[in-house]
Amino acid sequence: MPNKIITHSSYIISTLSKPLIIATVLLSLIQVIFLLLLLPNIVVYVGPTRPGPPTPRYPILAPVLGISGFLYGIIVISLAAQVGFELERGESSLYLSFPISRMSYILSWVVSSMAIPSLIFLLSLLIPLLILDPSMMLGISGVEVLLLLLQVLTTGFIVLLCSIIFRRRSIAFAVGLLEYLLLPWILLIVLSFLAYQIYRVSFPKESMIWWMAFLYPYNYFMIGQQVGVSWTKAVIANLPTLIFLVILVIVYTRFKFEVR
Amino acid sequence: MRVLSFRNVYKRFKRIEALRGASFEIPRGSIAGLLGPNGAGKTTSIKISLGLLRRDSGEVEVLGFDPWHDEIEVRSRVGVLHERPIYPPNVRVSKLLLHLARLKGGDQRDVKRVVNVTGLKEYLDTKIKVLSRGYLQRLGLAQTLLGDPEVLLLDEPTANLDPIARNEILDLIRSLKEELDVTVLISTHILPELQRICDYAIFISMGTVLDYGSMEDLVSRHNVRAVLKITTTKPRVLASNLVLDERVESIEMHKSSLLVRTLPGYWRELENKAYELGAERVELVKVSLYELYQTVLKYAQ
Repeated sequence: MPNKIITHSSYIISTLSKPLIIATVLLSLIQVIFLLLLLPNIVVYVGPTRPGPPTPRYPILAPVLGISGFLYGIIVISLAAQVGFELERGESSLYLSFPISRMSYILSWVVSSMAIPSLIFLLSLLIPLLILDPSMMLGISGVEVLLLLLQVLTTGFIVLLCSIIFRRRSIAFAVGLLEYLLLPWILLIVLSFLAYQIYRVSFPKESMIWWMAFLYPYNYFMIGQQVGVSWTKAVIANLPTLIFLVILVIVYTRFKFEVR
Repeated sequence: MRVLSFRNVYKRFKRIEALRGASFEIPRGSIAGLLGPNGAGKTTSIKISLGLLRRDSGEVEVLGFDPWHDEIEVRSRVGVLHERPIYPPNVRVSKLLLHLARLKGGDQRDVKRVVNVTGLKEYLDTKIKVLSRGYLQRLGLAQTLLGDPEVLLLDEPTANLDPIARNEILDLIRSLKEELDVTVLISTHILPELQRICDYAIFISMGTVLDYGSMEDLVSRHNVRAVLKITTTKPRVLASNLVLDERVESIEMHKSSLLVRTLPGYWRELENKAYELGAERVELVKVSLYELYQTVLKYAQ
């Protein structure tokens, strides 16, 4: 089974090589440019002699991750929705007429649409850092990166599930965009409105944003930093959600997934 | 020995009942036609045979395996050409075939073999999107042959082709069957073109199998016209004897054989009579599948 997953995912990647190369170059460029722009700040922040109370680390990577994370999320959503396109067009019945199981076929898409882009994302962040100044690596916490990875993977599995259930790229892509880009901000706007206008309390309050940790651990951590939320809470809330989604994909593929 | 069997298989897509208790089997070594109008359940049967669709109830066996649960075993031994197959347009022929060969545990040598058989050798470096329909169908047959399959399932292999390309594809299927000794199931709604290659037929309509069997059995059961090829050393003598028989509709004489067209329901009797008159070999060479289908339909109703 792993052989078939590797064979098919490398084929998928080779057919998608052009957009993947473009995305990789874009991600790297964005991260290099932002890191260069932020270099003076980063040096000040990570320097050991900075007086006063310890500064939260998130500002170091936040602007870089804000932009490249957006692009990384869009890449994962587009690729995971591509499964729906294959099922919609009927190309999948060609591959699944060969000795590759339904599970291996879906898992090869997990590798191609999530694992590989995540690796590219990490490398496009780490390589520029290593080239610019390897010592900066020590000053940067991996927490934001980890939370962003979890957040994007959660979205990726939601989109993948939509792709194999509805067999439509447009539906899967729309769900992905709604879930990843629109929903958290719409809900935040509504909540902040409620907080300021109706309940007359300051926003954010942890009691109002806890729900974000399940689907948006990175957003939850970044917004909640002002009120002292911990990253472990975000991970603890998100991991079961992610595992639940993975199990849903596996169970659906094993028992219900048909190719028409 | 049968290579494929359906027993009381049901399959429903929301409100549409695609298969309603379909039962049939195909013996090893035959070229079987799965014949019926559009929407009869032919494609559903093929997809269930491959484990791409799950049956709601009933039993399906392909080479002794359950295709839904033993999908890998079935797909390793079966080659499939889907109706209107979709290929990745920007991929080169060689790359797609090599990938599919690898999924079957093969390599570049398998690709070379199948492109030689199907006449695709010169198009190996061509992108799939520029292939003509005829060559796309050849590509379909080429991928079907990867990994030396024991069974070929061909869903409407001549659909959307011009008459010349149709004949080429049918000739290719026949030669493949002879050279590779595989069992072939061809699904189609165009009956006349299969007449010359099928030796077994399954008639399906509205998800129900009306009848199935070898051509000889079907012709015997349903009393339709048939054409017999009688091989003999004395064709003239035999022809003069048979021409007086009122069960014979027409006789065509060749160097060492006769083609005798019989009236409905008499081919077995004429076969016996030909042997009595000194024939060396009698074969059923042609049946009007359309006539057979009409008769089967009437009989089923």
